[in-house]
Amino acid sequence: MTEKVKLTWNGKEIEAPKGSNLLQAALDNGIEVAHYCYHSGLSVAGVCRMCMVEQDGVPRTYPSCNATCAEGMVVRNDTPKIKAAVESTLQFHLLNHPLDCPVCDQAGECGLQDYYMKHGQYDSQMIDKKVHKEKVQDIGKNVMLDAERCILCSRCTRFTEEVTKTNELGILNRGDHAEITVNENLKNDYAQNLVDICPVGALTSKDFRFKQRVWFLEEVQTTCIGCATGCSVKVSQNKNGAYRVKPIYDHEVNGHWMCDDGRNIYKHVSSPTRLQNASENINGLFVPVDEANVQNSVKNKKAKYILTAALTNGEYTNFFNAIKGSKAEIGLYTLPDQGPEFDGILRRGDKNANSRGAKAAFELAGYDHSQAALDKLLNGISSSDVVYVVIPEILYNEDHFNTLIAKVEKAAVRIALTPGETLSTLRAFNYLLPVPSFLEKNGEIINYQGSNRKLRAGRAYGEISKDVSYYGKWVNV
Amino acid sequence: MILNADLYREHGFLKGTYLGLKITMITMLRNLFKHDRITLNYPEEKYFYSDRFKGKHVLTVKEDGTLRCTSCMLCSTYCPAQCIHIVAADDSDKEVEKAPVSFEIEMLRCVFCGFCEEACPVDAIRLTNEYEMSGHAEQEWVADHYELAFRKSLNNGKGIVSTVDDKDRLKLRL
Repeated sequence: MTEKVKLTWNGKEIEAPKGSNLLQAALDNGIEVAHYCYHSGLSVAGVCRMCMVEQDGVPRTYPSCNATCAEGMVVRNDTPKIKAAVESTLQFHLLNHPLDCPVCDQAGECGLQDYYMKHGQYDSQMIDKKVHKEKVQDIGKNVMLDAERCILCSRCTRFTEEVTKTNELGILNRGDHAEITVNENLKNDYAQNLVDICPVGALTSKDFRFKQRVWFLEEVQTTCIGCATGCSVKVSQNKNGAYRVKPIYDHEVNGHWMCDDGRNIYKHVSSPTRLQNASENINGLFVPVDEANVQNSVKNKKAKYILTAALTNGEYTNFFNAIKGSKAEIGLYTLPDQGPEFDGILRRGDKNANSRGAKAAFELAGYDHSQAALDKLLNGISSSDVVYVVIPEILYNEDHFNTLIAKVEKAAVRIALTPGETLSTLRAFNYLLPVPSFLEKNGEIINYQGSNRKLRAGRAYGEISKDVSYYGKWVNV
Repeated sequence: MILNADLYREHGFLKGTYLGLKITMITMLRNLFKHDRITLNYPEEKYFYSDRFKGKHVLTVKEDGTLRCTSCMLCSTYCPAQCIHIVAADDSDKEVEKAPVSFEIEMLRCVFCGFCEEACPVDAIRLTNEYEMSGHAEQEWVADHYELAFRKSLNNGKGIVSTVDDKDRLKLRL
């Protein structure tokens, strides 16, 4: 337990750990301090000069991001002196800004727009020409760079230096010709965090580029199902679809960041090719079919279920309750490991979001979750069986999954329960039935640490109520 | 016409009617042979409203003939009827950067308030004095950007050039 100190900020008494960052203490206590370069996940640079404060007994104003909390400090940032300082600092930030808010994706969540409304000097005093830099640079990994919009806060260079340690970005030249440059295209797997930490529109996402204005979006806080880490994320969506995934600060699991693989987990959810109705495979074409027809076709057949390790704990419990007392065979398909077990930052080789929860649920219900049990199930498939396969939401290795599909083909009726798109590989199935995706269900998954991570339902773009346990009840039909 | 009760009180019913009809006949004859009447023979004759009239929308074009709109979506954000639908995309020209691939206005939903015109930062959308927008029920009532920018009535299909061209915008940038 660190020692706490009391200090006064704008007349309000706040408490902070001794020696902690002065700016962070204010932000934690809900005091508004303008800042660009300070980011609690990165080192202190002190280059933007926006977070200036005045302290009693100190003659000069100083940036609060570079100061530490001490007992009895009396700090203010609402004095006329500070206001004038912030105003003129912002004026310098805006000197060469191209003002292309109408075409900039950051508009609506831009630091320059926010602070301009509060601290802006509305008439430009500049008579010289603006310095132009290169726009629309694709610097790889779905990141676009516009050097003109940059305010040189150096958050991005510090990120590549400290977090990914790949050093792709740097600031070149001097004075007003200084600009962010890539020495080679981005190659780290966390590159899209640069888009999040950029306080202005200099670094924008190529994936999200011009898709939607940010003020049309609403956010749902959920958990990434891309791997066993289970990062806290928010998915931006509106009635037309889901548009992007951003990390939420969570000091226990992911900190400030998330990996680039996790940015793609939303794509199947609102895809136009997502399965909406129960469909029958007629010579390779999926045609909507009445659910009663599917039920008739599974009558008096031995049911075999192959689940994935990305369902919620509640879904497993409900499923095992639904099939209780039947002779159904159940196997667990786990996605194969991808890459190293742990890449040192966040990403894990185990791509199953809830493998711990799945295994616990299988053991509790008395079923074997091992690969050997799945192989036994697959080898035992005969022409009097009906096989239900839950399609994994995020499929990293399609070939591995196709080997499983190939083994299923002996069964009389093959049913795919899919939360996503109608992939061409699903032609091996007789029927496709929709199930909710991760963005349409509330529940919990257990990550690699064994801690419970919450999934929250946002807007629905497909099936929301009929989950795996609903089809589990068909075992008795 | 205002009924003149005094006419009947003074002259009695028959003479009063006759006097009233006299006024009618005089007005009719005057309108038949003298052309100072107010009614127009629509559609052969048409009334021209001032440019401030809020009629059918027009999307202005740049000097090179492409749409002025940068698809910033401010008009569709501001629109109280939510009748403007824009799909934006990358433009090959780096100076333009963002341009609409589709710009649609649901004409039946539009309330012709002119907020889109006021919200536009680049003079890309205007309301014209065109007021003839009648049509059939089965007609497609969604105006796309071909109709909004290049319909026959606008400079014979060439479109109206915006007052804020890209060169001007760059000049403003200094």
